[in-house]
Amino acid sequence: MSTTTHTTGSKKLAAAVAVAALAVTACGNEASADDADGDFGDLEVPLSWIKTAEFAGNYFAEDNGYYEEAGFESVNLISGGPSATPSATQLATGTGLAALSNPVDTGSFIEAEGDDVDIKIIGSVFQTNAFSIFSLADNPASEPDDLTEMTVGVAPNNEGVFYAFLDANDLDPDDVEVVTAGGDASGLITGEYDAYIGYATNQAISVELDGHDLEHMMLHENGLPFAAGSIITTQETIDSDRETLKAFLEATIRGWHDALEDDDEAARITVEDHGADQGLDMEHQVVTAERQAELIADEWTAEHGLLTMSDEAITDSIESVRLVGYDVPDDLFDLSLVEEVYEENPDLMEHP
Amino acid sequence: MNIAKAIGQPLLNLLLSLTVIVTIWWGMLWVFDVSPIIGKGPDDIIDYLFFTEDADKHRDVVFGDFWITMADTFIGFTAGLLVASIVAMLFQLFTSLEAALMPVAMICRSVPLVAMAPIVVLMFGRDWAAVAAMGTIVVIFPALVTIVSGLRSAPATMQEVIHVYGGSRSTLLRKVMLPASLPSFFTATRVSIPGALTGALLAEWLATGDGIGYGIVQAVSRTDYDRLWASVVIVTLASLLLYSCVGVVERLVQRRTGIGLAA
Repeated sequence: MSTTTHTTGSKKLAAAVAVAALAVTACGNEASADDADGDFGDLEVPLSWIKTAEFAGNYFAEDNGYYEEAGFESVNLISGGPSATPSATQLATGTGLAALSNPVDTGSFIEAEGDDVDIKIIGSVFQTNAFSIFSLADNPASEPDDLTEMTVGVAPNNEGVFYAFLDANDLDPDDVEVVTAGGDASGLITGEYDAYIGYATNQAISVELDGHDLEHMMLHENGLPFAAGSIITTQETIDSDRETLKAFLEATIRGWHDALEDDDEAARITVEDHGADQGLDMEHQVVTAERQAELIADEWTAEHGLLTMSDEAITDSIESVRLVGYDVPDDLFDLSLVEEVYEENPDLMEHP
Repeated sequence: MNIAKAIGQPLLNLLLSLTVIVTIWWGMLWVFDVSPIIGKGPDDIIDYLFFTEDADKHRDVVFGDFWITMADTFIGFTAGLLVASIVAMLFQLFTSLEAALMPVAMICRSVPLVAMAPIVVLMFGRDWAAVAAMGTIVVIFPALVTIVSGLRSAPATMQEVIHVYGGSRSTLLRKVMLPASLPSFFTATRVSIPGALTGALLAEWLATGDGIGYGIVQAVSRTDYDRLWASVVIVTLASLLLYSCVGVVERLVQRRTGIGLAA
């Protein structure tokens, strides 16, 4: 008896020491439940970034009870960010039913670990990505060639996309001076660099609200037309929990309908509630919501519904990711689930 | 001559550290049941660097980064230790300086380098000067405190001899304090090496954008966990090795000069 206690005790101690030493937390929760009667258990969704208005549709789906109506008992949107584990990795290691990502990050995961986990993109919130290379209006980079006489601030996580952009526009990387930048474009104001690659819906807004006019060179208009806001999951989950995933997609679409209807409210629930601990700026989030709306809802979605993608958009996205350097398979996208959702819920098409 | 022992002891310690690290490494992955996608074991890293199809490319990437980091570490280490030594000596010559400058050294220690990095970059740019500055910031406080206490450790009787014979403070510093501080100087060197390495990695991440410091960030954003682990392992090995090298040099100097042997 005493021996047993001792063994357990020392293992506990070892574990406690280990935690203290490395501050590692290990968790692995399966989000899906196997009940067949519409009870899908707890919903966990790793997000691709901190909780900004980028995920307003998910916030509305949570607040307005769409996830609950769809059969989920609770909702946990897991905040991402520059220092968080990438959402694709979280998904592959067992956290979350589905995750928010983008084709490039998904591609990098597939390149590294695709042999072990089969990741699929089952919907895109953004019909086209919000990547922009922006510069101050009095020293503008209006077309790719302008960059050859400029210094560009590139954050490590955007390197792949940036060099793919140069490649797509026949620019020699040696002709463009690149400096390592952080996650914001402050160096544009201090004069450290002349242009910055980031999101028109995020970093650019901070600079503009600071009183500077910007010249935008959108990547989707300059050789990298990939869709973003990818909803990813594993093939395994598609096979085993198809209905759960469809319930998630349906509720998310309803959430986005609400979000697109009211930019101010989308910003408000982001700043005051979901992203409250991020110290977000209200004005900034309103502009984010306004600006992303046109990337989310366009002519295609008016006819086919949010989150769907045209064959052309799929081909463009795959080609863009390959240009970045990740050899993704032809069947990376599986839009059949979201298409079924629209077939089974014709009312979903009636949105503003 | 006991040179063999002077080298042998640190070597033994090094082997012991390695065994402990590898055991903890494997143990942690096992205890916490870390997914093999994120948690790579020693065998994965050896595979990645030596046996997989693209092993030579992997080695090019990791060791390419590594040598840059070593150079950056050397720059930061030299700059930091040099500044710390000079300041410590100035403290002895002009005693009021210590009260004035110590808080500045303390700021270096208490404000996170990440927070200071943007200012350092604006002041020193993004090449070796920034690396030297960041290395100094990390190294200076522990090194300074150690060297100052070493200089002070000179026996009072010896200091009095200099005074009695009318020696100046600089004579005192040169003839008594400096030799007496040798053991402390080596201690400072040893604590500075991991510091300089951290400083170099931070400088690479936040300023220069190359070396292991940036490579790690790059590997994470590319989901390249093999490269991430390999880079961390190589840096860890290097810091152990450098630490041991200082141990060897220290022992050899001790034997040669006889200073600090009793301690």
